[in-house]
Amino acid sequence: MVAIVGIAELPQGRSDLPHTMALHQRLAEMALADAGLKLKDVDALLTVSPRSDSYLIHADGVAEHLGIAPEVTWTVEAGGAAPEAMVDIARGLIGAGRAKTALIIAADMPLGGVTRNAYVNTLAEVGPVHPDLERPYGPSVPSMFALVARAHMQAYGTTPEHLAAVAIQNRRAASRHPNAHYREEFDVAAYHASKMIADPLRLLDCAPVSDGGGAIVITSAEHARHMGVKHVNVISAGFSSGHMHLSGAASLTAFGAGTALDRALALAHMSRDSLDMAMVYDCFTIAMLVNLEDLGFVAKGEAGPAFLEGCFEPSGAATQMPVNTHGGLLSHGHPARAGGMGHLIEAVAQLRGQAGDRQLDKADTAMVHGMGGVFATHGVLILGRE
Amino acid sequence: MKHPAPRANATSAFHFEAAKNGRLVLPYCEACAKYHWPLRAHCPHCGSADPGWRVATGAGAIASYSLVVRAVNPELKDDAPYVIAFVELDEGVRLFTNIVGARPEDLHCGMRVQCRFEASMDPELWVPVFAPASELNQLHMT
Repeated sequence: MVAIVGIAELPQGRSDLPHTMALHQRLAEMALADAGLKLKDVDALLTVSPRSDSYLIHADGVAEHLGIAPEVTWTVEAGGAAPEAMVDIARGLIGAGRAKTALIIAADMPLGGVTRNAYVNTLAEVGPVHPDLERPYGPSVPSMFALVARAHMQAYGTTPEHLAAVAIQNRRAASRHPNAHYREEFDVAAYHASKMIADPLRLLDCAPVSDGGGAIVITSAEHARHMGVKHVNVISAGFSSGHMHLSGAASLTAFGAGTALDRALALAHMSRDSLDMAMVYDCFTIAMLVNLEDLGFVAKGEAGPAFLEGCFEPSGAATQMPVNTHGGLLSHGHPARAGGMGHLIEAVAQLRGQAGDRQLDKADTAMVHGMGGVFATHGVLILGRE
Repeated sequence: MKHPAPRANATSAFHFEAAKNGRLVLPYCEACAKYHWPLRAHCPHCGSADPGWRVATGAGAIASYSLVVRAVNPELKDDAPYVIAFVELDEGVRLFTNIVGARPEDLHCGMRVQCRFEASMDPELWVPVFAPASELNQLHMT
């Protein structure tokens, strides 16, 4: 068993740091300080390749900048499931005796590091869009998710009001998070007044482009106990892949998040009932609804009405499963290639009882879900309080 | 709409070369007599190796669609807004495409559409797009 012994996050949004490498340095120092460890203790460094910076082996570039020489310096490519993938790789490295302390950083500066237009265009060029089968038709990333939204509306009667409920709840959660990119609450009228981006998705259905991300430190659970720091156990992990491009998906309304969770639960001999919270990848409002259904927290086609009823609120009469208490990608922020790191850090903060105004009453176990591509590949972690 | 070009020499180049000649060709497995899409190394239905290609009717229905208000590809800046869609062909495969020849507000899921072809920036590679199957089109087909 391994444990998360340190976390770090800076305010998401426009960073005043000079460049993406400075962000990595700050996060590394903060996470290690949180764990009571030093840079020289790191023997495995895992990163994602930021879109706002380019190194052949990004993790090795970060190690070079930090002035350390860990045995492992690997950059992991798994889209928005990279945080889960990196944690699982760290489990393997620590379990095999190769590493004692793994530092994981997922950070990007699409606002401060590059111009926004350049970023959006890059996303269309090399993002989840197929270079031959999809790109000639000019899709934007929001329009790919819009196709899923329209298909879901057609199949199940999902409405713009259901999408609005996701956006509004996420913003309310983010209003309680000091690091969130967008904290000002809005109502359903403001949702309907927001600009149409790719029908039926409006601006408030889309996660913002944010500078940010975070870092975590992992060591063996045994070592964590000796360190005497507040730590969170990594109980289990599961993954799935079904397609790379939406053109290759078997369905337009159901994907593989549930398969990843089933695999994680089976390894842990646990059931969905034993989870106290779910951090669900929500790059668009429709992603939250579809992933909640696929994860099995609500029947297929019923996530919209359930969300509107408050089933996924942090607390309340209707609450069944608190989700994205930090505001998700939609409002806490979406730091490009580092998307989903905020979900992992929020789960750890909740399990450590350090979530401030957002703290859940019952926070013993958490599920963290990440997704790469347009519902393409999924990663799930199950975390537990020591 | 002058489309960004698919890559020449890529796995599906034959599909786009055929489109230049006004034919919609799709991967077809002789062993199990089924079409599939995108092209796979093995038939996704029966696992047979090296699926061939076969001409499809080009008739289908809109499975989902969206209006792209602002083009991200610089080549398409002047064409926005335009409609992207998935079309479910009668052959049982789903194609990513554009819907042309119709006002976006007149579209709906399930609407019958028919394939036509448009040029890309590469003169050798054209792309299949779809337009509503008018009564006239349907008469021609029967």
